[in-house]
Amino acid sequence: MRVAVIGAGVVGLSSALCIHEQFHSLVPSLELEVYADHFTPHTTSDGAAGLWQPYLSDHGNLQETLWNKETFDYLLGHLHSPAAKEMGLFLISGYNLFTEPVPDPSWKNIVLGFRNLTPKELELFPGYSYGWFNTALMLEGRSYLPWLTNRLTQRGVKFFHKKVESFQELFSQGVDVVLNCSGMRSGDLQPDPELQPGRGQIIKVLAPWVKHFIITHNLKSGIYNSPYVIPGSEFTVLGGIYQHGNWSEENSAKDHKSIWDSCCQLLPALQKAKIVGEWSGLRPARPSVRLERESIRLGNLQAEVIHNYGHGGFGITIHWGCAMAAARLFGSILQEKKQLGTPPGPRL
Amino acid sequence: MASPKVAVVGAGVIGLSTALCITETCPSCSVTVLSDQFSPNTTSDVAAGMLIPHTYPDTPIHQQKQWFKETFTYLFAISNSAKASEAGIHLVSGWQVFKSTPKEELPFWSDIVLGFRPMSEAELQKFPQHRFGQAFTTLKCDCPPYLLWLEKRLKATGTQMYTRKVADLWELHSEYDIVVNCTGTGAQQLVGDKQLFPVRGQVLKVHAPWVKQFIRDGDGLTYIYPGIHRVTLGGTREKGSWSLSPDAGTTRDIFDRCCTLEPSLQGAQDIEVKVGLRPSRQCVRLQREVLSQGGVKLPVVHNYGHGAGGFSVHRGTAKEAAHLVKECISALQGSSSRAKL
Repeated sequence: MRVAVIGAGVVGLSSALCIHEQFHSLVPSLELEVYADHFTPHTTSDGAAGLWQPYLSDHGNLQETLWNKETFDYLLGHLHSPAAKEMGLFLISGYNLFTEPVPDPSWKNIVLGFRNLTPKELELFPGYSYGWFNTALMLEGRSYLPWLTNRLTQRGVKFFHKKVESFQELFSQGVDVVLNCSGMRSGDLQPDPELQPGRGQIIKVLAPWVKHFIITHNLKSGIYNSPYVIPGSEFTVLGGIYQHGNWSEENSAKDHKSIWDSCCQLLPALQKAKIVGEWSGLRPARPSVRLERESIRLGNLQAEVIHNYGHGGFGITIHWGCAMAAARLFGSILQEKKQLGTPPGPRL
Repeated sequence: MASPKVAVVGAGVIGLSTALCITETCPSCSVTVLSDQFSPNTTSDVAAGMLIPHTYPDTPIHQQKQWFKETFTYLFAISNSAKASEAGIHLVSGWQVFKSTPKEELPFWSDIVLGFRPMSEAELQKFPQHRFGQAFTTLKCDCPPYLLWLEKRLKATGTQMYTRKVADLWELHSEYDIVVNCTGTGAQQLVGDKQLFPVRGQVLKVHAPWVKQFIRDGDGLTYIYPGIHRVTLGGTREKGSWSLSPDAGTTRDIFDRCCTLEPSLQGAQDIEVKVGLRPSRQCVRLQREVLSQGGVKLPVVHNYGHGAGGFSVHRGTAKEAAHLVKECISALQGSSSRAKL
């Protein structure tokens, strides 16, 4: 049973690990391969700050909220394990700021210690009159992806550095199931007008005195188009750009100025921070995550694709819930192919 | 008295902040700081500088609260300004956890720190040995940056600073009109204060930049305080010990206790061990005194004995000390004008 995962970002690698963990002992013939044109540290996941936080509203998409919760709980369970540091996983508290009262988010009971900001706290942020404080998690891609890669390599999963041009290409080589975790470039494999880039740009600075994340919101300009400051283990990320439909991965001087000015206004001490890097990336945005099976007829064979892409700016936040859902879909494929009595794992 | 000459003895957080307050309250004064040690070799440099008050048994609570509030408000404004990183002042959030529920669930300072509330059940799950906890956000004064920033502010006002071991306050009477005694543990010998005793604290300063939250055991013995570049792991409270030498067994013990609270610290690097002697007293000695010897008088303002709570109340006590200096000046001017009559 040959399974090929396309994509080596957080979604591809975690889906591969989840499937291998659940099925390798039950399917002795399981061979797992990861194909990607970019590996860490050159994936979209590497550029993300790594803060676990869903968007403000799930738009009634309860399934995504559940996947977010599964991810948070899974990570929280790993916090005290010896692997935490290697995974790039740690607790962090911080602020979400608004210019007007807003309803509580779908994730208020998932994070720790969620509460509204007190008037005294709001004094720290002139121009903002409402906000939240909570404790969440950081999962830094630059550490997590190598950690996932190591776990997969230990399990005998093979990696191939190549750009897959079509699903057929893999099926004709004898692959039985393809996991499509190709993020932004899914459209190259199968057109999907709903998948659009949500371009982001960030400035990396040294500001080790900042111990909280600060995310401002401008309800008119939309998510991530308002300054945010996210302190990591090696540097602090300044951001606040979300450009729907912009495919450019070049850093823009105009965006740099916008991020710098707005973040320095938020935290005046940042003016003294040393800039150590800048990066632009494309969030693979979609109205909802595409996580579903697709059977493709190839001659007299039925080939199976599991799509798992379109995680926008919340890939890290939702990745493990999606990986488990992808694993369940894989289990049902195995059942149909009579490779398995019943799928393992919890029944949902 | 045109320009009273004030000597501040001691250059830890108390000495420097008191000197600064004096320049603010009495601009006509000429202030000089004298100390045998300056940053990074003061007791203050060893401390984490967390604004979590220590309770002095013999000082009225309302007084301690006022000192803390004054200090918190002052530092809050700096933390919010462009100067925050230079001054070493930053906000930090975290948890104080208790193995058994404390008698006082609401400490006197709970409404001064930010967002104080009990920890939720979900948060307490991270601490299986602890049954109760408090979450809040407070400020941290990183040293040396904070002390160096105070020194910079002082130099800007024309304050002179000299390395000098003062063995007797009377040494200073010919050069200075008023002496301010901020000598911390040094006061035991300098002014013969037997009520002052050291409480030895050993700490580890480690590189663990992923630790963004503080964790403190309510017993005050085990704590993890993330600073700008290093995390301070503590600690000990050894009453009466004057030893400044690090103890290896203590180092292991501190590390183990902190790793129990925060397992990821196992990966901490570059462990530096430091020792400081908290200048402890039942109450802070903050008072005027006029020393007298052979017809010569020397006004002294004492401001020492802050023990484990120096950073938490430093600005409040410094301001009060500055007022006492002002009173000394008035008294001197009063007596000199009487002399003229």
